[in-house]
Amino acid sequence: MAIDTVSMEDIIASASRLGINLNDVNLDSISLPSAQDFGIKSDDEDLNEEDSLEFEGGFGNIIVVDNLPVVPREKFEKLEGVVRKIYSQIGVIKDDGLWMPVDPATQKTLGYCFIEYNTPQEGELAKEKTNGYKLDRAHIFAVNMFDEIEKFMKVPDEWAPPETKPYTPGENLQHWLTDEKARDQFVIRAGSDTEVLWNDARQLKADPVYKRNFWTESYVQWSPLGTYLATVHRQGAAVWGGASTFNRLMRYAHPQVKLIDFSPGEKYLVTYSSHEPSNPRDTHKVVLNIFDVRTGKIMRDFKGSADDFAIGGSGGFAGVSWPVFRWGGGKDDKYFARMGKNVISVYETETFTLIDKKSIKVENVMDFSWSPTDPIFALFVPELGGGNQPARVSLIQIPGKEELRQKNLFSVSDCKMYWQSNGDYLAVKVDRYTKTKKSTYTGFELFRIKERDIPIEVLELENKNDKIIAFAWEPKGHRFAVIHGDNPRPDISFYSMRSGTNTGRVSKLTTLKGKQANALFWSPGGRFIILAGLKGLNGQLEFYNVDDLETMATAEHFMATDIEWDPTGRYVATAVTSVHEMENGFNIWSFHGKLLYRIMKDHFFQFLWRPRPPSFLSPEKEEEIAKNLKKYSKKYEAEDQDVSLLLSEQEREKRKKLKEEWEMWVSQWKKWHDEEKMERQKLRDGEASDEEEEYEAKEVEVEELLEVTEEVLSSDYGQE
Amino acid sequence: MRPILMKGHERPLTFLKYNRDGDLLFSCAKDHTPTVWFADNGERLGTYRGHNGAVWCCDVSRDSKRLITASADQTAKLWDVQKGAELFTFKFDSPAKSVDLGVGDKLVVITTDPFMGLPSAIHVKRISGDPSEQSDESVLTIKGPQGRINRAVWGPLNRTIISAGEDAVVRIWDSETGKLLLESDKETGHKKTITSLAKSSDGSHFLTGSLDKSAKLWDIRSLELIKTYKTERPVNAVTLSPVLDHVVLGGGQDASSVTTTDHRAGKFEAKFYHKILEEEIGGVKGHFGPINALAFNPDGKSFSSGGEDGYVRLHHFDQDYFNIRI
Amino acid sequence: MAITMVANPSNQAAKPRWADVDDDNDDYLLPPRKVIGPDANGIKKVIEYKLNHENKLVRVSKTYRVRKFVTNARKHVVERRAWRKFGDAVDEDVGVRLTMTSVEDVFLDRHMPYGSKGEEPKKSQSSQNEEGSGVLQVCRNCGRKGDHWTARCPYKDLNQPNESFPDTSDVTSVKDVKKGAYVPPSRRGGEKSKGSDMRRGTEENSVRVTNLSEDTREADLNELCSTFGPVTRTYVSNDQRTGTCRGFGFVNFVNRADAEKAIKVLNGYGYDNLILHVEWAAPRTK
Repeated sequence: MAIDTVSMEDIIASASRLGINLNDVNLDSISLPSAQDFGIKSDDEDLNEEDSLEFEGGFGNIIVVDNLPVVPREKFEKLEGVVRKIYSQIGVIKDDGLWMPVDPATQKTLGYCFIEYNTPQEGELAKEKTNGYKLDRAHIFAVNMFDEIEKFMKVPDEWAPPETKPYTPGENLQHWLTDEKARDQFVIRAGSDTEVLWNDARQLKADPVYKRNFWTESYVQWSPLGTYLATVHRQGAAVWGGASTFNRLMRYAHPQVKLIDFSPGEKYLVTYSSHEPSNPRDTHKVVLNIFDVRTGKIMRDFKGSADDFAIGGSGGFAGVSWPVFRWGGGKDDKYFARMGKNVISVYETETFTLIDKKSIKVENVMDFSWSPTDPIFALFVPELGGGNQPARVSLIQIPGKEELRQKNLFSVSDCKMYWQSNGDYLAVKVDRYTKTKKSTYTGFELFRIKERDIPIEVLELENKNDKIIAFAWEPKGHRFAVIHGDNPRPDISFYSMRSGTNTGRVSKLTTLKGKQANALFWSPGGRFIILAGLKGLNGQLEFYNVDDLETMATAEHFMATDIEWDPTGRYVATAVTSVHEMENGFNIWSFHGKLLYRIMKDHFFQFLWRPRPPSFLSPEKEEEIAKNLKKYSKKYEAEDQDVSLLLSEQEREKRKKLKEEWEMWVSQWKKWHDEEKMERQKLRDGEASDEEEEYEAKEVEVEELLEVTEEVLSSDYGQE
Repeated sequence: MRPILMKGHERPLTFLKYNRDGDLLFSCAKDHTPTVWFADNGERLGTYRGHNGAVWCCDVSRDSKRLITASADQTAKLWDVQKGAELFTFKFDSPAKSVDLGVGDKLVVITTDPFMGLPSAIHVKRISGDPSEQSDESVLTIKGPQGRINRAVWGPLNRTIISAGEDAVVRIWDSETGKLLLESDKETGHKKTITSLAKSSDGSHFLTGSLDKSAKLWDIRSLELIKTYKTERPVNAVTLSPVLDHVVLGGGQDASSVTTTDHRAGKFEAKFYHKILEEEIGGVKGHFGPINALAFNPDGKSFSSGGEDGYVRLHHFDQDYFNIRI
Repeated sequence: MAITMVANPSNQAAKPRWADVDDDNDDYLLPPRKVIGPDANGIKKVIEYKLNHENKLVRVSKTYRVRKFVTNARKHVVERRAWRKFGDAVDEDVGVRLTMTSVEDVFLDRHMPYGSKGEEPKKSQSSQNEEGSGVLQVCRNCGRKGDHWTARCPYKDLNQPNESFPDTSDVTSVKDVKKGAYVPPSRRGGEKSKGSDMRRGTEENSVRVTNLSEDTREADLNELCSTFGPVTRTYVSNDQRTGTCRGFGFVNFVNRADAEKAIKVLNGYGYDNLILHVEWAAPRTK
């Protein structure tokens, strides 16, 4: 973009010419006249330009319904009535909006009609809902948008093979993983800047990669394997990536998009927007699009009212809890599902349609959750009929829809499901009413997924009445941590799914009492955990080693709001976001709790580590490396030492220079001081110079008491 | 080290000053009574009663016989250090903010705040050896720039006066003619109110502290900016070590964060910086509120800090302090 | 071992010589004080006589080592040390409450985040709290929970003179209760609300102070009120934009009796040129 730029010097020159004191000019009070951009293009303008206008020709609200019965005049009204009835249910047909053309020759209907709605959305909805509708056996509606007909007309009769574009190799999007110093990247948003930086722990600083002002309009998000950075704008979403910098790779048009979600394998991107309805009493309209990330093609869209999508759990945005579609089946992105009223709709990504063309009916389903690795999900149905029908948790396998395991639970008030990262275990936290129904106590149902018949184990805390504040599985491990208790300083207990010799029973490892913590953050590789006190506890951090069951360090990041481990588990970032007015910024710590560096940034919104794809090493190779760690670490240690020596060398140079400069000042000052000495003395009426003073050489005698003895004299005194 | 805590003042401290020999410490506070303490053990020697408003600043003569104080009650008073007797009162039309005795203790520079339409001003008065002959006459009056002048001090040989204040600009005036000689550069200078100013022991350079969370070191003759020290808090008080290359900064909280209570009781610290390298060496914690006053003993072996909490904390350094290598 | 500095070593104080003393006064007929030395090693011996309670004669021999050295005490400094106290310090003796040495050791917290060697900055009190596993640290002095034990109370310096208060005020509050009227437990006199009841107690011992001056801060209010008794919490409402006080604040006392006394004394008290208005705070809705 060529922008007409003027240098600062020119501005100063012009100002002085005009007699304006630049310092008096309040730049903030200057406002550009609206609707003029002075030729300065905004970054998103090209996004604007290519929006497919739905109002071309103003016929966007019209649909064409084909395959209507051909009827004679007498049946006109009846047919019209039937058609009108069907289509009025979907939207409001404009006045005179229904037109059934008649063949002038036969005086019979031509077999199709036009229907005009007030908004294109209604037309689209009508097309979707009625396309394929069976009026009767012989007549199945074929509905299209009026504008599309035109498009179809343009299709040439001859099929010409498409031209093959020459192959341009794309950039290596995974280039960041090959960093020699094995650093990780993270993105931060502060003020209007979005910046991607390297975490350089050796040099104790953050190395910038790319920075952009107004890169996103609301927030940014990494794709799950770290390949892309997604930004959200008014016109849709975009993803950025590249070898050494961030170029825009693809755009996805979705006006007024609010939320986005990637599939775990980064193949698809789901975008969501919510719109005000034309009739204020209706619910919001919701639009969801699923794009193919690489090509930008819309694979499937979902439109409907917010009610259809807002089921279960707590209402999120305008009644919808995000993400609406939950992906299952691990990194293959094979299935995605959403919960509806009494159904769970599971779609597969081959055809983007429901498996077996229908949803799974589950009466009163409240919540469901996929395993992170396998195509299995767990669902929860609450208690019904005042206890007549107990609550239940079921495990369903896709695509077969077999119920792998089921457990009935009694007196349940609420339930939450937690999967372990490898899909090995599922913990279901169950809140139960006590016999008096006045209070609840909590227990855990622990499912061992990978074992035969999926055995379930029940775990109750020692103090059953303790409230559960937090629960977290150890990633890739067999342990979990629970924060429980009612005090301002709750207890933290660690359990393992294996116990001593018996791998089939859960066992407690330890309980830490009276901790100032309300949140748990495991390292992504397991073994280490941060026990954090956020919000009211003002950022207390405890770095705990679960293997050795001991605290490595305690620290504090005053007013911290977010804590995030880097994908390797070597470093932790704690941040204070703009929820608070002051102390915005972030700290980087080593995994054992040493503060490496901190950066303050006002109006701090987001801190996100760039995720890494899973390692390509086989488990055996990983074990081998762990065993021979010493060999590998020697090489890196030597490198580290070199860097630190280099640092000192640079530091030393800098310091020497500063000291020399200073010496020059000091000698200059001393010279002047000496020259002025006589003057000073005069001012003081000849009083002695600065340093001399009257010292009294005093001879002082000091007595040190060594010993005291008292002796009673026997002779009776007083007789003289 | 074990600091000695002196709670002689009911209100926040405003200024601290050691006498030349370093055996007496004078403290000024928003209560109306400047106090003098023995600087070795913190024992209170006496108080100077007579002011009717907050006492902002003081200076003591070289022979430790005369004390001069500036107060919000629109006067500056001259005292007999030993007896506590009030010798003379200089009356002004607005609160007096800062005092500094020149070389020879014959001249004093006093600044007054803007008040009721009157601009801020710098007054030079003569101090006579015999208090009975003391007159109220000004030798020189400079009507100042906008805003308060928080500190004004003498330059070498009493030839110049250096002033700094609310408008963030440091100015050097000719003490004979009252003409403005030099001004600090707006680009490189402070960006917010300058709260404090301290001269080096030989008077060749001086340090200014400002609410813009930084302190700056200047050459006193040329007003060249030599060093800048950055902190995370607004700076209320500064001082320089007379023997080592250290500067000390003390400060407080943003006004905007006053409502969010800082739960770190006792964590307001006096921050030590390396004068040449501009790097933070460390901090001495202990005050329960922002630090408003700092002073180094001329022998360099101890320093004291005065806080919003009304306490004066007197610190005698351990040997460790003198062994710091950077 | 006591060290005494003797300014005039050569002067032997004139002791009453037994021959000069009145013969009638037998009490004074003690043998004279004898000084032996100092010898070559500087050892001096002083022999004195006195009568013990049985009226028996006792010989007291003290052995001193005497050292002479030259000090560089500047003349004026030494002179000033001998000055008499003036102003508010008159009638004060050395070591009065105003000046005290802190019990805690403070040191220059080094922080070296940039790769060069330095000591690890010691963690503050919060880390020490972790060792107090599960036990709530309660300080008897200021009633502040969780932070520190009594011995480490940062407010302990302020509390010395106040021990007498709770007793006197309790007596008065008992008298205030009318005969026969129902007094809710929180208002009954004689109840000390320290210890476990503190959490609930402090909510109710809340005092509202209005007509505060602009530059009043929490620390000022704390100082003002802590003379009546330990204060758990002070809050001063401030204007976000200007940072000045909005004119009112709240103080939570540990003891209700102290709060009462504070109200009695401070209501109408002139503080920073404004007359304070102090009353019980309206109970907060739960």
